[in-house]
Amino acid sequence: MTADKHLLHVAGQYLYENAPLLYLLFNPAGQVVDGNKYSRCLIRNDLEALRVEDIFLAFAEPVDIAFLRTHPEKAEMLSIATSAGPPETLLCHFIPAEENTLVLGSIDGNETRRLRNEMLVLNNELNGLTRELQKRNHQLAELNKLKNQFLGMASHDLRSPVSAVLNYSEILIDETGYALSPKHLGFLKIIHSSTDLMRRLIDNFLSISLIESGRFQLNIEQVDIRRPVERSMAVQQIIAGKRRIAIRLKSSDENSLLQIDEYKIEQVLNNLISNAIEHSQPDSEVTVMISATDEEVLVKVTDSGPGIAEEEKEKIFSPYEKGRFRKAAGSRSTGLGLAISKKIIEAHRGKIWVENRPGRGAQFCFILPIDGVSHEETL
Amino acid sequence: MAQQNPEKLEEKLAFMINDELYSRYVTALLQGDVRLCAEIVTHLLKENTETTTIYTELFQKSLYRVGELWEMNRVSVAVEHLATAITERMLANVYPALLSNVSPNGRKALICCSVNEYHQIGARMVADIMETRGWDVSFLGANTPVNDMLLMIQEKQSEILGLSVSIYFNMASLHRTIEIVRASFPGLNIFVGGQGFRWGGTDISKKFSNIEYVPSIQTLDTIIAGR
Repeated sequence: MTADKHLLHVAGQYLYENAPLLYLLFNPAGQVVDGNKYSRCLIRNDLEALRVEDIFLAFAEPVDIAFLRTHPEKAEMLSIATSAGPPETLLCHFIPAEENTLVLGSIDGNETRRLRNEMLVLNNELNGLTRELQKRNHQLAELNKLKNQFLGMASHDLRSPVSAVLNYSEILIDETGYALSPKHLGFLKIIHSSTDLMRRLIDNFLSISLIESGRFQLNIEQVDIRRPVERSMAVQQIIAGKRRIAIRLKSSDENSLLQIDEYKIEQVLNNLISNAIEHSQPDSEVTVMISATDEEVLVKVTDSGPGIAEEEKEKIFSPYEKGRFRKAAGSRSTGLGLAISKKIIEAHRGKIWVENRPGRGAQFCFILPIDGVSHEETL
Repeated sequence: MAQQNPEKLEEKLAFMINDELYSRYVTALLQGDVRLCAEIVTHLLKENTETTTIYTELFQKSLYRVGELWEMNRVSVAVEHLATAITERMLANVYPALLSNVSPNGRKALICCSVNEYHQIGARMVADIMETRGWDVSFLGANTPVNDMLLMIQEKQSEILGLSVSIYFNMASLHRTIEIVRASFPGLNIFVGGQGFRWGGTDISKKFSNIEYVPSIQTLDTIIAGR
């Protein structure tokens, strides 16, 4: 063997045993007749069972070996189905070897380098952005904490004087209203209704600041859901009556006992029923329906108002989102009632949602599990 | 229950990243085992290990080890890149915990790498450590264009600029960056550091005024504590 032949032999052996290059030999019928170690590792060990169409992924047209071997100098970019993972794209040369065709293929090194560099840059950018996002999230959480502290303190300190104005203005209306001119009585009623709104705002701010600061606790007892429903209906009846709106209860006879914080659930019902009244036209009806299964209790509050636009269905449960709340009765909304209701229901492991009935009224529903939450879970 | 001796407790905390734990972490890092790396880091956070300790005794030490192995041709560039990517992922796990213990001191710094320097992890660690000391740090990352740097110094009113170099061949680029920054902000304090200085350039303060070479995170800690 001459030195040149020896070198060729060694190079060939290296290509066959060690090189990370594709080496496949096809017969004229397109069947694999031989392959190197790398090809067996990349595609599969028993290469001889495969045909050209099993190896090369042909999306547009099949790989035509007979044609490609007429241009052995040209590198064809082809994708190969691999045994363990996504396809691999290689630059392949189709070289005639008597009647057979030798396919030699390699990964495009330039492309790999370019991709690696791009990925490094993108990864750097992603990490920088993640860090920035984490920092901003932390700052927002800190600001939110401060906001809740402020809201809690301010609301707590405002509640007493506002309650005094509310109570005394009510006494003045009841006890001296007859002696006042209609104009002055009107002023007094505005003071009373504005103060009432202010107190509701303060109560909601207090609730939301407690919820958001994580100091929200439930006092769980076994209660028949009909009790808070009936109590809430009785309270709301006064406002409903003024607008000639009837509140009807439809309840099945099933057992409706469940583990809840009765007063928090009543707060939810007050929100839903008062919203329903305020969005309904005079001389209409608001319905409260209760149904129960062995596992849960479902409550639905239906009004005959304008309904809720599809795009507002999710938003209305977020704090300070008023969306739909241009109330028929002309009263103002705090934008917190539904957000608080959602938190209360979720704290009971329940779910609250609204069914979209545009033009035919809205139906707010919530489900509470019968077994509810334990005392430990609420702490 | 007997009260735990504070000295013993301190000893326990100091040895929380022991040789065995470090060794497990490095092995996982070299094998690309993100899950195990994250488990170890989570464990350390649960044990209230100081974030600075996690940065220096785990992240920095393990990356230096990976670098050594690469220089000895015992691991490939790909493994080194994977180890870096995993470490950045781990930094993202620790960072929120780090922020939760920060008392802001109202001082501002800008940390980045100069043009063509794509290794940002050292600079990132410096930025994070400074934040643990109460600094409000803007981190611009790798390959920061000089104009962006100048705008940010102006906008954030930074009193310190930190520049990191991991590859010695980027030293000339660093010097050009410093010259441009100096022209616009003559009095700005600048500190430089990074693995690139292992091969020279530590006498940078002879060439520029108000510049300090910071050889380690521990030195950085001492410098910023004294400012």
